[in-house]
Amino acid sequence: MVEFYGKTFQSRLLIGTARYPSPETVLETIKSSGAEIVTMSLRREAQGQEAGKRFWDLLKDSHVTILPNTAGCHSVKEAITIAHMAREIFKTPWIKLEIIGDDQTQQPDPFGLVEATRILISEGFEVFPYTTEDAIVAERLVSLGCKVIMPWGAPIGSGQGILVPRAIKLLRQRFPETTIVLDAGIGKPSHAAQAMELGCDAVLVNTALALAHNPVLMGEAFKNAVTAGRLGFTGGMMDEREMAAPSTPVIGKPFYL
Amino acid sequence: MKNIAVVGAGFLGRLAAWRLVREGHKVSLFDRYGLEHINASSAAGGMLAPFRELDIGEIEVCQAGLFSLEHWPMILKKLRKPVFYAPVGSIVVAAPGEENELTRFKDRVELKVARDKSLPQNPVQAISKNELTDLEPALGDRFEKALYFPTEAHLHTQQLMDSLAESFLAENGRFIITNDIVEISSNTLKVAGETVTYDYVIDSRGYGAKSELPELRSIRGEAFIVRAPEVTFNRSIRMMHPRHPIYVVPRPDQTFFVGATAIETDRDDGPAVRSVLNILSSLYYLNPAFGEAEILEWRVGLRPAFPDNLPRVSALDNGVIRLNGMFRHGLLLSPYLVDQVVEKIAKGK
Repeated sequence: MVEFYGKTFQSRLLIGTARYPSPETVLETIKSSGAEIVTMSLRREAQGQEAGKRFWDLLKDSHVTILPNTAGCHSVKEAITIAHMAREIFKTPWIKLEIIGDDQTQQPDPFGLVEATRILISEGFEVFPYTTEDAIVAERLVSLGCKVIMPWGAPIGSGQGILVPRAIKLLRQRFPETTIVLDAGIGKPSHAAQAMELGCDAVLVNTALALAHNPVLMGEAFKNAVTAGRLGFTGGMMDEREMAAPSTPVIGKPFYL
Repeated sequence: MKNIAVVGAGFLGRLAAWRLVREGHKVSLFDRYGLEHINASSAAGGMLAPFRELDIGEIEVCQAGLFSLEHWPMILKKLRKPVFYAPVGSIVVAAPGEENELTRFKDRVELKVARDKSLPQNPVQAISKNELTDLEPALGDRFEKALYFPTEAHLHTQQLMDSLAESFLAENGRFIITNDIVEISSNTLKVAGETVTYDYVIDSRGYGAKSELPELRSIRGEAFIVRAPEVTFNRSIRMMHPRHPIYVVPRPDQTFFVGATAIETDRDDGPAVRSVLNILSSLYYLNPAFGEAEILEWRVGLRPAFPDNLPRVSALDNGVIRLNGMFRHGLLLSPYLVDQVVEKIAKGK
């Protein structure tokens, strides 16, 4: 069980809905991955008279919880406008707050993020901030009242995995009460397992699924990887050693050459 | 001779109407707008790229597309006005940092093609900088590698739309502008107070069929037509990019059709500033000489699609034939679907 602002979920895998071959594939991947929370961009789709309603209707029918996001926003003001729109459309206080500081790396702007988080929390939002692995930024976000933080593993869509595993581990140690979701940079199921082994409470995956040759199959792979990583973390993993430590004792064996 | 109504005047409706009128039927073509109105068809790039579509498309689209690729040239020969048609192959390049995606693109096409052994098994070639330079000198110095689909083609969509309409009207086809047809539940239509029962009603509407087909959604596409006297290439180019991929389709007189966004909305007003920036900056990257190009016009179309992005086709007992949800494949699917319709009607009731 994992908790997001008082709501509990079985699945520790959150998925994005962008870049899939079709909405139908999104629905099938939700099923195969067991995801209970999906994130959805409002930046542009929300602007029609129907407000991208048909795509959203499809998701609604699949009974998942929607986590609207502010993907594509470059300023505090833009992100707040989208957050308001999301609350209106999706009837939820949840908002995955993304403010992009750099177009090339899609790196979050930590200063704008903290500022927008402060404003949105004061307006009653439950903020899921997309941040870097920086512990000081995380500290600010948590002290503003964030119960969830979403550090990146690597730039969005890069599939590079977790570039600074130690920093993620440190976040876990520093913020034992905060729900940590590793967001962005995951390319392979093993990356997701690693995030869970490092102590993250959940992972969010989009591109690795959407651009897979078979997104539905990949959804199942990620589901199993997240479960494996979580069990690994809770099972208490052994520490690394300098030397070999044979699992079968050699003492007592005759004439060991 | 049958009395036939065709509702919706995109590629599909116009081709069906023209084919059926030539078969000797009495055909009325209906649309909400005039024949010059920009719709999803006239806002389409005009690529006949069944293999390249396999990137995200399904094998069924490729199979039907191959039929159409073979049949479009024969259709064009019979039309009254010439339509620019270029069976010269197509190319895919990748924006910087995205080069690995080319390998994946090729893998994906080959994986899907391998599922149907009757398809040509080597539709795509990975080519080097030098080979690309030989094919398209204007691109060779920009990209280290590319994919080449030698059997694909492209055509001029506006010329095709015009020529189909003109050829249909010349065969005494009737075209009627009407807002009256909202629902096609039987072969009886009521237009401007007049009720007519047809032998067949063909529903070839795009997103206009939404009130009747609630699963239908629209994916907005924004595109530009530019004239670039300094740039020359012959093949349609797709450039992969993580956020703003584009395609460029060369037309006569140094003009190029550049598209397209894919936005889940049914807004059909002018292009957003963001779309202009994204598409045109990708175009500028493709070849900086596009910086000097003149923007002749923009076009916005709403692609009609079902949740699986595949078309739905059915022939009902009451004479209604439905062909909906062409997504971005109206041009690629029309000859294949229309052939089936013509055959079905020839066998008749």
